[in-house]
Amino acid sequence: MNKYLWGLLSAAFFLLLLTPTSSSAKIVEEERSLYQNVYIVKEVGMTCMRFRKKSHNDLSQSCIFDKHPKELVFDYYKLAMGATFFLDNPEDMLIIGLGGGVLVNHYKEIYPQANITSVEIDGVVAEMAKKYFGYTDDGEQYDTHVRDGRVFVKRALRKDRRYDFILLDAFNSDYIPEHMMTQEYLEEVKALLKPGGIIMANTFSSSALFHHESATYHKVFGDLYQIHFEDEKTNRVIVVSNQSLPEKETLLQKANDYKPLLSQYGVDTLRVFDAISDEINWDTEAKILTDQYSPANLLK
Amino acid sequence: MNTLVLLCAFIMGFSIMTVELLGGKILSPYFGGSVYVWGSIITVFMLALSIGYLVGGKLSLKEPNTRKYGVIFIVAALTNLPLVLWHAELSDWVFMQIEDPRYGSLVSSIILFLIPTTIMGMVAPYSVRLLVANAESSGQTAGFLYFVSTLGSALGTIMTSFYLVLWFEIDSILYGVTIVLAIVGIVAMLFPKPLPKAEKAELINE
Repeated sequence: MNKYLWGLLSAAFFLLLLTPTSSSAKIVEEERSLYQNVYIVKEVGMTCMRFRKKSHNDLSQSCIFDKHPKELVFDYYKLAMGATFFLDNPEDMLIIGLGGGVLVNHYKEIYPQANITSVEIDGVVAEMAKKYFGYTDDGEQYDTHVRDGRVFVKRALRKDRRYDFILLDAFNSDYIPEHMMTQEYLEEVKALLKPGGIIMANTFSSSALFHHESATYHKVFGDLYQIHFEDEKTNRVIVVSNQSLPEKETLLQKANDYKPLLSQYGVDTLRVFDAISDEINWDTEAKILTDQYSPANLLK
Repeated sequence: MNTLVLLCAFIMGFSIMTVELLGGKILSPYFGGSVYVWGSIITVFMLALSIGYLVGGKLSLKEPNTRKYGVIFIVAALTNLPLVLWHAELSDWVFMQIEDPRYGSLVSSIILFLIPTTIMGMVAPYSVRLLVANAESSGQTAGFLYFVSTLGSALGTIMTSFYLVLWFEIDSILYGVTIVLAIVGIVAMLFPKPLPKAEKAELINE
Protein backbone atom coordinates (compact mmCIF):
# COMPACT_ATOMS: atom_id res chain seq x y z
CA MET A 1 0.00 0.00 0.00
CA ASN A 2 2.74 2.36 1.03
CA LYS A 3 4.60 1.58 -2.13
CA TYR A 4 1.57 2.65 -4.22
CA LEU A 5 1.20 5.82 -2.19
CA TRP A 6 4.82 6.76 -2.75
CA GLY A 7 4.47 5.94 -6.38
CA LEU A 8 1.44 8.21 -6.67
CA LEU A 9 3.10 10.99 -4.71
CA SER A 10 6.24 10.93 -6.78
CA ALA A 11 4.19 10.81 -10.00
CA ALA A 12 2.23 13.84 -8.78
CA PHE A 13 5.47 15.63 -7.92
CA PHE A 14 6.91 14.83 -11.32
CA LEU A 15 3.77 16.14 -13.03
CA LEU A 16 3.98 19.31 -10.97
CA LEU A 17 7.52 19.83 -12.20
CA LEU A 18 6.36 19.42 -15.78
CA THR A 19 3.34 21.68 -15.48
CA PRO A 20 4.17 25.24 -16.40
CA THR A 21 3.20 27.55 -13.56
CA SER A 22 3.41 31.25 -13.22
CA SER A 23 6.24 30.87 -10.74
CA SER A 24 8.39 29.03 -13.27
CA ALA A 25 7.55 31.41 -16.12
CA LYS A 26 9.82 34.37 -16.66
CA ILE A 27 8.97 37.27 -18.89
CA VAL A 28 12.11 38.13 -20.83
CA GLU A 29 10.64 40.84 -23.00
CA GLU A 30 7.38 42.68 -23.19
CA GLU A 31 6.42 45.19 -25.78
CA ARG A 32 3.24 47.06 -26.47
CA SER A 33 2.15 46.92 -30.07
CA LEU A 34 -0.73 48.65 -31.86
CA TYR A 35 -2.92 45.61 -31.18
CA GLN A 36 -1.85 44.01 -27.96
CA ASN A 37 0.92 43.51 -25.47
CA VAL A 38 3.40 40.99 -26.76
CA TYR A 39 5.19 38.93 -24.13
CA ILE A 40 8.16 36.65 -24.62
CA VAL A 41 8.18 34.12 -21.83
CA LYS A 42 10.72 31.47 -20.84
CA GLU A 43 9.28 28.49 -19.02
CA VAL A 44 10.11 24.81 -18.51
CA GLY A 45 12.68 24.77 -21.27
CA MET A 46 10.53 26.65 -23.76
CA THR A 47 10.40 30.12 -25.23
CA CYS A 48 6.85 31.28 -25.90
CA MET A 49 5.11 34.30 -27.37
CA ARG A 50 1.92 35.41 -25.65
CA PHE A 51 -0.56 38.22 -26.00
CA ARG A 52 -1.68 38.01 -22.40
CA LYS A 53 0.30 37.94 -19.24
CA LYS A 54 -1.43 35.04 -17.57
CA SER A 55 0.30 31.73 -17.59
CA HIS A 56 -1.83 29.25 -19.45
CA ASN A 57 -0.33 27.23 -22.19
CA ASP A 58 -3.31 27.67 -24.44
CA LEU A 59 -2.75 31.40 -24.51
CA SER A 60 0.65 31.04 -26.09
CA GLN A 61 0.69 31.98 -29.74
CA SER A 62 4.02 30.30 -30.46
CA CYS A 63 6.44 28.15 -28.50
CA ILE A 64 9.75 26.43 -29.18
CA PHE A 65 11.86 24.10 -27.07
CA ASP A 66 15.09 25.90 -26.22
CA LYS A 67 17.23 22.78 -26.54
CA HIS A 68 15.45 21.22 -29.51
CA PRO A 69 14.08 24.09 -31.58
CA LYS A 70 13.24 21.71 -34.42
CA GLU A 71 10.83 19.65 -32.36
CA LEU A 72 7.30 20.99 -32.57
CA VAL A 73 5.63 21.92 -29.28
CA PHE A 74 1.95 22.18 -30.15
CA ASP A 75 -0.34 19.55 -31.60
CA TYR A 76 -1.67 22.03 -34.09
CA TYR A 77 1.82 22.50 -35.51
CA LYS A 78 1.92 18.76 -36.05
CA LEU A 79 -1.52 18.78 -37.68
CA ALA A 80 -0.33 21.59 -39.96
CA MET A 81 2.59 19.41 -41.06
CA GLY A 82 -0.11 17.21 -42.60
CA ALA A 83 0.00 19.75 -45.43
CA THR A 84 2.93 17.77 -46.80
CA PHE A 85 0.57 14.90 -47.71
CA PHE A 86 -1.33 17.18 -50.07
CA LEU A 87 1.52 19.03 -51.75
CA ASP A 88 3.87 18.21 -54.62
CA ASN A 89 6.86 20.51 -54.58
CA PRO A 90 4.94 23.75 -54.09
CA GLU A 91 6.54 26.77 -55.73
CA ASP A 92 4.60 29.54 -54.10
CA MET A 93 3.33 29.46 -50.55
CA LEU A 94 1.37 32.09 -48.63
CA ILE A 95 1.18 32.11 -44.86
CA ILE A 96 -1.44 34.45 -43.37
CA GLY A 97 -0.65 34.93 -39.69
CA LEU A 98 3.08 34.54 -39.11
CA GLY A 99 3.12 34.55 -35.29
CA GLY A 100 6.49 33.29 -34.11
CA GLY A 101 7.21 31.92 -37.59
CA VAL A 102 7.63 28.36 -36.30
CA LEU A 103 5.60 26.76 -39.10
CA VAL A 104 7.25 28.90 -41.77
CA ASN A 105 10.69 27.84 -40.51
CA HIS A 106 9.69 24.21 -40.92
CA TYR A 107 8.06 24.65 -44.31
CA LYS A 108 11.26 26.36 -45.44
CA GLU A 109 13.27 23.30 -44.48
CA ILE A 110 10.87 20.87 -46.09
CA TYR A 111 10.49 22.89 -49.30
CA PRO A 112 13.80 24.73 -49.74
CA GLN A 113 12.94 25.69 -53.30
CA ALA A 114 9.59 27.32 -52.49
CA ASN A 115 8.90 31.03 -52.44
CA ILE A 116 7.22 31.81 -49.14
CA THR A 117 5.27 34.99 -48.47
CA SER A 118 4.25 35.63 -44.87
CA VAL A 119 1.65 38.15 -43.77
CA GLU A 120 1.48 39.40 -40.21
CA ILE A 121 -0.66 42.29 -39.02
CA ASP A 122 1.50 43.12 -36.02
CA GLY A 123 4.98 44.49 -36.70
CA VAL A 124 6.09 43.75 -33.15
CA VAL A 125 5.12 40.08 -33.55
CA ALA A 126 7.18 39.86 -36.75
CA GLU A 127 10.15 41.44 -34.96
CA MET A 128 9.86 38.98 -32.06
CA ALA A 129 9.66 36.08 -34.52
CA LYS A 130 13.05 37.14 -35.86
CA LYS A 131 14.54 37.85 -32.46
CA TYR A 132 13.44 34.77 -30.51
CA PHE A 133 12.14 32.11 -32.89
CA GLY A 134 14.83 32.01 -35.54
CA TYR A 135 12.52 33.35 -38.23
CA THR A 136 14.27 35.03 -41.12
CA ASP A 137 13.11 36.33 -44.47
CA ASP A 138 16.61 36.90 -45.85
CA GLY A 139 16.88 35.86 -49.45
CA GLU A 140 14.80 36.62 -52.51
CA GLN A 141 12.54 33.66 -51.93
CA TYR A 142 11.12 35.02 -48.70
CA ASP A 143 8.97 37.97 -47.97
CA THR A 144 7.23 39.34 -44.89
CA HIS A 145 4.36 41.80 -45.19
CA VAL A 146 3.12 43.66 -42.15
CA ARG A 147 -0.55 44.19 -42.90
CA ASP A 148 -4.03 42.86 -42.38
CA GLY A 149 -4.44 39.46 -44.08
CA ARG A 150 -7.72 40.31 -45.73
CA VAL A 151 -6.27 43.47 -47.25
CA PHE A 152 -3.23 41.52 -48.45
CA VAL A 153 -5.45 38.92 -50.13
CA LYS A 154 -7.53 41.56 -51.93
CA ARG A 155 -4.39 43.35 -53.16
CA ALA A 156 -2.73 40.07 -54.21
CA LEU A 157 -5.81 39.24 -56.30
CA ARG A 158 -5.53 42.57 -58.09
CA LYS A 159 -1.88 41.84 -58.80
CA ASP A 160 -2.78 38.39 -60.16
CA ARG A 161 -0.63 36.52 -57.66
CA ARG A 162 -1.32 32.81 -57.33
CA TYR A 163 -0.19 30.23 -54.79
CA ASP A 164 0.09 26.45 -54.55
CA PHE A 165 -0.46 26.45 -50.84
CA ILE A 166 -2.12 28.95 -48.51
CA LEU A 167 -2.09 28.57 -44.74
CA LEU A 168 -4.76 30.53 -42.89
CA ASP A 169 -3.39 31.02 -39.40
CA ALA A 170 -4.41 34.55 -38.41
CA PHE A 171 -5.42 34.81 -34.78
CA ASN A 172 -5.90 37.66 -32.37
CA SER A 173 -5.92 37.09 -28.63
CA ASP A 174 -9.50 35.77 -28.93
CA TYR A 175 -9.86 33.81 -32.12
CA ILE A 176 -9.73 34.31 -35.88
CA PRO A 177 -10.76 37.90 -36.68
CA GLU A 178 -14.37 38.13 -37.84
CA HIS A 179 -13.65 39.49 -41.30
CA MET A 180 -11.34 36.51 -41.96
CA MET A 181 -13.95 33.81 -41.48
CA THR A 182 -16.56 34.89 -43.99
CA GLN A 183 -17.74 33.33 -47.23
CA GLU A 184 -16.51 36.37 -49.17
CA TYR A 185 -13.03 36.11 -47.67
CA LEU A 186 -12.80 32.39 -48.39
CA GLU A 187 -13.87 33.03 -51.96
CA GLU A 188 -11.11 35.61 -52.29
CA VAL A 189 -8.54 33.19 -50.88
CA LYS A 190 -9.85 30.44 -53.14
CA ALA A 191 -9.36 32.73 -56.15
CA LEU A 192 -5.70 33.12 -55.13
CA LEU A 193 -5.04 29.40 -55.56
CA LYS A 194 -3.40 27.89 -58.58
CA PRO A 195 -5.48 25.05 -60.07
CA GLY A 196 -5.36 22.16 -57.65
CA GLY A 197 -3.78 24.31 -54.94
CA ILE A 198 -4.39 23.62 -51.29
CA ILE A 199 -5.69 25.81 -48.47
CA MET A 200 -5.15 24.77 -44.90
CA ALA A 201 -6.83 26.60 -42.04
CA ASN A 202 -5.88 26.33 -38.41
CA THR A 203 -9.10 26.52 -36.39
CA PHE A 204 -10.72 25.30 -33.18
CA SER A 205 -13.18 22.48 -32.85
CA SER A 206 -14.82 23.25 -29.56
CA SER A 207 -17.29 26.09 -29.76
CA ALA A 208 -20.66 27.06 -31.17
CA LEU A 209 -18.70 28.67 -33.97
CA PHE A 210 -17.48 25.24 -35.13
CA HIS A 211 -20.73 24.55 -37.00
CA HIS A 212 -20.96 27.95 -38.67
CA GLU A 213 -17.31 27.87 -39.65
CA SER A 214 -17.49 24.34 -41.09
CA ALA A 215 -20.69 25.13 -42.98
CA THR A 216 -19.04 28.21 -44.47
CA TYR A 217 -15.99 26.25 -45.69
CA HIS A 218 -18.28 23.57 -47.09
CA LYS A 219 -20.36 26.16 -48.94
CA VAL A 220 -17.28 27.71 -50.59
CA PHE A 221 -15.17 24.62 -51.28
CA GLY A 222 -17.45 21.60 -51.19
CA ASP A 223 -15.65 18.56 -49.78
CA LEU A 224 -13.19 19.15 -47.02
CA TYR A 225 -10.82 17.17 -44.86
CA GLN A 226 -10.44 17.85 -41.17
CA ILE A 227 -7.36 16.82 -39.26
CA HIS A 228 -8.02 16.42 -35.59
CA PHE A 229 -6.38 14.26 -32.92
CA GLU A 230 -9.00 12.25 -31.04
CA ASP A 231 -7.46 12.90 -27.64
CA GLU A 232 -6.98 16.59 -28.22
CA LYS A 233 -9.96 18.83 -27.58
CA THR A 234 -9.25 22.16 -29.18
CA ASN A 235 -7.40 22.21 -32.46
CA ARG A 236 -8.32 20.99 -35.87
CA VAL A 237 -7.10 22.00 -39.27
CA ILE A 238 -9.32 22.19 -42.34
CA VAL A 239 -7.94 21.24 -45.74
CA VAL A 240 -9.70 22.40 -48.90
CA SER A 241 -8.93 22.93 -52.56
CA ASN A 242 -10.38 24.52 -55.69
CA GLN A 243 -10.39 21.06 -57.28
CA SER A 244 -11.18 17.65 -55.85
CA LEU A 245 -9.03 16.63 -52.91
CA PRO A 246 -6.70 13.62 -53.15
CA GLU A 247 -7.98 10.21 -52.05
CA LYS A 248 -6.86 8.90 -48.70
CA GLU A 249 -4.69 6.22 -50.32
CA THR A 250 -2.63 8.88 -52.04
CA LEU A 251 -2.30 10.66 -48.72
CA LEU A 252 -1.17 7.47 -47.01
CA GLN A 253 1.58 7.07 -49.57
CA LYS A 254 2.80 10.58 -48.80
CA ALA A 255 2.49 10.01 -45.05
CA ASN A 256 4.84 7.06 -45.45
CA ASP A 257 7.24 8.99 -47.65
CA TYR A 258 7.49 11.87 -45.20
CA LYS A 259 7.75 9.70 -42.09
CA PRO A 260 11.56 9.90 -41.73
CA LEU A 261 11.82 13.59 -42.57
CA LEU A 262 9.05 14.70 -40.25
CA SER A 263 10.02 12.45 -37.36
CA GLN A 264 12.91 14.82 -36.62
CA TYR A 265 10.23 17.43 -35.81
CA GLY A 266 8.49 15.05 -33.44
CA VAL A 267 5.70 14.43 -35.97
CA ASP A 268 4.36 10.90 -36.32
CA THR A 269 3.01 11.12 -39.86
CA LEU A 270 0.91 7.98 -39.52
CA ARG A 271 -0.77 9.40 -36.44
CA VAL A 272 -1.49 12.59 -38.39
CA PHE A 273 -2.79 10.48 -41.27
CA ASP A 274 -5.14 8.64 -38.92
CA ALA A 275 -6.42 12.00 -37.72
CA ILE A 276 -7.63 12.93 -41.23
CA SER A 277 -11.36 12.67 -41.75
CA ASP A 278 -13.82 13.63 -44.46
CA GLU A 279 -16.81 13.06 -42.22
CA ILE A 280 -19.47 15.77 -42.05
CA ASN A 281 -19.62 16.22 -38.29
CA TRP A 282 -21.16 19.67 -38.14
CA ASP A 283 -24.70 20.94 -38.18
CA THR A 284 -25.29 21.41 -41.90
CA GLU A 285 -28.16 23.78 -41.13
CA ALA A 286 -25.83 26.23 -39.37
CA LYS A 287 -25.94 29.75 -40.74
CA ILE A 288 -23.16 30.66 -43.17
CA LEU A 289 -20.80 33.41 -42.02
CA THR A 290 -20.72 36.33 -44.44
CA ASP A 291 -19.49 39.91 -44.46
CA GLN A 292 -23.09 40.76 -43.57
CA TYR A 293 -23.33 38.25 -40.74
CA SER A 294 -20.17 37.39 -38.89
CA PRO A 295 -20.56 37.66 -35.13
CA ALA A 296 -17.68 35.22 -34.76
CA ASN A 297 -16.52 36.31 -31.35
CA LEU A 298 -20.07 36.24 -30.01
CA LEU A 299 -20.66 32.70 -31.23
CA LYS A 300 -17.47 31.56 -29.61
CA MET B 1 -43.63 67.68 -25.75
CA ASN B 2 -40.74 67.22 -23.37
CA THR B 3 -41.16 63.47 -23.35
CA LEU B 4 -41.33 63.39 -27.12
CA VAL B 5 -38.10 65.38 -27.50
CA LEU B 6 -36.31 63.29 -24.89
CA LEU B 7 -37.44 60.09 -26.59
CA CYS B 8 -36.30 61.43 -29.97
CA ALA B 9 -32.88 62.37 -28.56
CA PHE B 10 -32.58 58.93 -26.97
CA ILE B 11 -33.35 57.21 -30.27
CA MET B 12 -30.88 59.44 -32.10
CA GLY B 13 -28.13 58.62 -29.59
CA PHE B 14 -28.88 54.92 -30.08
CA SER B 15 -28.86 55.22 -33.88
CA ILE B 16 -25.59 57.13 -34.08
CA MET B 17 -23.69 54.48 -32.15
CA THR B 18 -25.34 51.63 -34.04
CA VAL B 19 -24.18 53.08 -37.35
CA GLU B 20 -20.70 53.82 -35.94
CA LEU B 21 -20.22 50.28 -34.68
CA LEU B 22 -21.41 48.75 -37.93
CA GLY B 23 -18.92 51.04 -39.67
CA GLY B 24 -16.11 48.77 -38.50
CA LYS B 25 -17.80 45.74 -40.02
CA ILE B 26 -18.56 47.60 -43.23
CA LEU B 27 -14.96 48.67 -43.79
CA SER B 28 -13.04 45.62 -42.52
CA PRO B 29 -13.41 43.52 -45.70
CA TYR B 30 -11.60 46.26 -47.62
CA PHE B 31 -9.26 47.87 -45.14
CA GLY B 32 -8.91 45.28 -42.41
CA GLY B 33 -9.76 45.25 -38.74
CA SER B 34 -6.75 47.33 -37.86
CA VAL B 35 -6.55 50.08 -35.28
CA TYR B 36 -6.41 52.72 -37.99
CA VAL B 37 -9.71 51.60 -39.47
CA TRP B 38 -11.33 52.36 -36.13
CA GLY B 39 -9.27 55.54 -35.99
CA SER B 40 -10.75 56.66 -39.31
CA ILE B 41 -14.30 55.86 -38.29
CA ILE B 42 -14.10 57.59 -34.93
CA THR B 43 -12.39 60.64 -36.44
CA VAL B 44 -15.08 61.04 -39.08
CA PHE B 45 -17.91 60.55 -36.58
CA MET B 46 -16.44 63.10 -34.18
CA LEU B 47 -15.87 65.55 -37.00
CA ALA B 48 -19.37 65.04 -38.38
CA LEU B 49 -21.01 65.38 -34.97
CA SER B 50 -19.10 68.57 -34.23
CA ILE B 51 -20.26 70.09 -37.52
CA GLY B 52 -23.77 68.83 -36.79
CA TYR B 53 -23.80 70.49 -33.37
CA LEU B 54 -22.75 73.77 -34.95
CA VAL B 55 -25.35 73.66 -37.72
CA GLY B 56 -28.08 72.34 -35.42
CA GLY B 57 -27.44 75.18 -32.96
CA LYS B 58 -27.61 77.72 -35.76
CA LEU B 59 -30.86 76.21 -37.08
CA SER B 60 -32.46 76.37 -33.66
CA LEU B 61 -32.25 80.17 -33.71
CA LYS B 62 -34.95 80.55 -36.35
CA GLU B 63 -38.43 79.81 -35.05
CA PRO B 64 -37.72 76.41 -33.56
CA ASN B 65 -40.57 73.94 -33.72
CA THR B 66 -41.16 70.20 -33.74
CA ARG B 67 -42.06 70.26 -37.43
CA LYS B 68 -38.52 71.35 -38.36
CA TYR B 69 -37.21 68.98 -35.73
CA GLY B 70 -39.00 66.10 -37.48
CA VAL B 71 -37.55 67.19 -40.81
CA ILE B 72 -34.02 66.70 -39.41
CA PHE B 73 -34.87 63.08 -38.60
CA ILE B 74 -36.33 62.48 -42.03
CA VAL B 75 -33.27 64.00 -43.74
CA ALA B 76 -31.05 61.85 -41.50
CA ALA B 77 -32.99 58.78 -42.66
CA LEU B 78 -32.69 59.81 -46.31
CA THR B 79 -28.94 60.45 -46.10
CA ASN B 80 -28.54 57.05 -44.43
CA LEU B 81 -30.02 55.35 -47.47
CA PRO B 82 -26.99 55.66 -49.79
CA LEU B 83 -24.91 54.17 -46.99
CA VAL B 84 -27.23 51.18 -46.72
CA LEU B 85 -27.60 50.72 -50.46
CA TRP B 86 -24.07 51.22 -51.72
CA HIS B 87 -21.56 50.80 -48.89
CA ALA B 88 -19.99 47.75 -50.52
CA GLU B 89 -19.65 49.37 -53.95
CA LEU B 90 -18.33 52.62 -52.51
CA SER B 91 -15.78 50.88 -50.27
CA ASP B 92 -14.69 48.73 -53.19
CA TRP B 93 -14.25 51.81 -55.36
CA VAL B 94 -12.09 53.53 -52.73
CA PHE B 95 -10.12 50.30 -52.27
CA MET B 96 -9.29 50.34 -55.98
CA GLN B 97 -8.17 53.99 -55.85
CA ILE B 98 -6.14 54.11 -52.65
CA GLU B 99 -3.50 51.53 -51.79
CA ASP B 100 -2.80 52.61 -48.20
CA PRO B 101 -5.51 51.15 -45.92
CA ARG B 102 -5.17 54.10 -43.53
CA TYR B 103 -6.18 56.73 -46.07
CA GLY B 104 -8.46 54.28 -47.83
CA SER B 105 -10.47 53.75 -44.69
CA LEU B 106 -10.43 57.48 -43.92
CA VAL B 107 -11.74 58.43 -47.36
CA SER B 108 -14.34 55.65 -47.24
CA SER B 109 -15.49 56.82 -43.82
CA ILE B 110 -15.86 60.36 -45.10
CA ILE B 111 -17.88 59.27 -48.13
CA LEU B 112 -20.08 56.88 -46.18
CA PHE B 113 -20.58 58.55 -42.82
CA LEU B 114 -19.82 62.27 -42.90
CA ILE B 115 -23.15 63.55 -44.22
CA PRO B 116 -25.60 61.29 -42.37
CA THR B 117 -23.72 61.72 -39.09
CA THR B 118 -23.61 65.49 -39.51
CA ILE B 119 -27.39 65.53 -39.87
CA MET B 120 -27.77 63.22 -36.89
CA GLY B 121 -25.57 65.53 -34.82
CA MET B 122 -27.94 68.44 -35.46
CA VAL B 123 -30.57 66.84 -33.26
CA ALA B 124 -28.81 67.42 -29.92
CA PRO B 125 -28.64 71.24 -29.88
CA TYR B 126 -32.04 71.51 -31.51
CA SER B 127 -33.49 69.32 -28.77
CA VAL B 128 -31.97 71.59 -26.14
CA ARG B 129 -33.64 74.58 -27.77
CA LEU B 130 -37.02 72.85 -27.81
CA LEU B 131 -36.73 71.94 -24.16
CA VAL B 132 -35.21 75.04 -22.59
CA ALA B 133 -37.85 77.13 -20.87
CA ASN B 134 -35.67 79.90 -19.47
CA ALA B 135 -32.05 80.89 -19.08
CA GLU B 136 -31.83 79.82 -15.44
CA SER B 137 -32.78 76.23 -16.03
CA SER B 138 -30.99 75.91 -19.38
CA GLY B 139 -27.91 74.23 -17.93
CA GLN B 140 -29.99 71.67 -16.10
CA THR B 141 -32.19 71.04 -19.13
CA ALA B 142 -29.19 70.61 -21.42
CA GLY B 143 -27.57 68.34 -18.84
CA PHE B 144 -30.64 66.13 -18.64
CA LEU B 145 -30.92 66.04 -22.43
CA TYR B 146 -27.29 64.94 -22.77
CA PHE B 147 -27.90 62.36 -20.07
CA VAL B 148 -30.79 60.87 -22.01
CA SER B 149 -29.11 60.98 -25.42
CA THR B 150 -25.83 59.56 -24.15
CA LEU B 151 -27.75 56.83 -22.37
CA GLY B 152 -29.25 56.07 -25.77
CA SER B 153 -25.74 55.95 -27.23
CA ALA B 154 -24.58 53.55 -24.53
CA LEU B 155 -27.56 51.27 -25.09
CA GLY B 156 -27.08 51.48 -28.87
CA THR B 157 -23.45 50.48 -28.47
CA ILE B 158 -24.07 47.47 -26.29
CA MET B 159 -27.20 46.28 -28.11
CA THR B 160 -25.48 46.46 -31.48
CA SER B 161 -22.21 44.85 -30.47
CA PHE B 162 -23.66 42.17 -28.20
CA TYR B 163 -26.98 41.28 -29.76
CA LEU B 164 -28.07 42.95 -32.98
CA VAL B 165 -25.12 41.60 -35.00
CA LEU B 166 -25.93 38.15 -33.66
CA TRP B 167 -29.58 38.36 -34.71
CA PHE B 168 -29.48 40.29 -37.97
CA GLU B 169 -27.38 41.08 -41.01
CA ILE B 170 -25.63 44.44 -41.16
CA ASP B 171 -27.91 45.80 -43.88
CA SER B 172 -31.04 44.76 -42.00
CA ILE B 173 -29.85 46.68 -38.94
CA LEU B 174 -29.06 49.73 -41.06
CA TYR B 175 -32.50 49.56 -42.70
CA GLY B 176 -33.97 49.29 -39.21
CA VAL B 177 -32.19 52.47 -38.12
CA THR B 178 -33.30 54.29 -41.28
CA ILE B 179 -36.94 53.28 -40.85
CA VAL B 180 -36.99 54.16 -37.15
CA LEU B 181 -35.50 57.60 -37.87
CA ALA B 182 -38.10 58.22 -40.59
CA ILE B 183 -40.95 57.18 -38.29
CA VAL B 184 -39.64 59.35 -35.45
CA GLY B 185 -39.40 62.26 -37.92
CA ILE B 186 -42.99 61.82 -39.08
CA VAL B 187 -44.27 61.57 -35.51
CA ALA B 188 -42.38 64.73 -34.51
CA MET B 189 -43.74 66.58 -37.54
CA LEU B 190 -47.31 65.61 -36.77
CA PHE B 191 -46.92 66.59 -33.15
CA PRO B 192 -48.34 70.00 -32.21
CA LYS B 193 -45.63 72.51 -31.56
CA PRO B 194 -46.25 74.39 -28.36
CA LEU B 195 -43.34 76.57 -27.24
CA PRO B 196 -42.04 76.07 -23.72
CA LYS B 197 -44.29 77.63 -21.10
CA ALA B 198 -42.01 80.38 -19.85
CA GLU B 199 -41.54 81.71 -23.33
CA LYS B 200 -45.23 81.77 -23.88
CA ALA B 201 -45.52 83.85 -20.77
CA GLU B 202 -42.87 86.22 -22.07
CA LEU B 203 -44.70 86.57 -25.36
CA ILE B 204 -47.94 87.34 -23.58
CA ASN B 205 -46.24 89.91 -21.37
CA GLU B 206 -44.79 91.62 -24.39
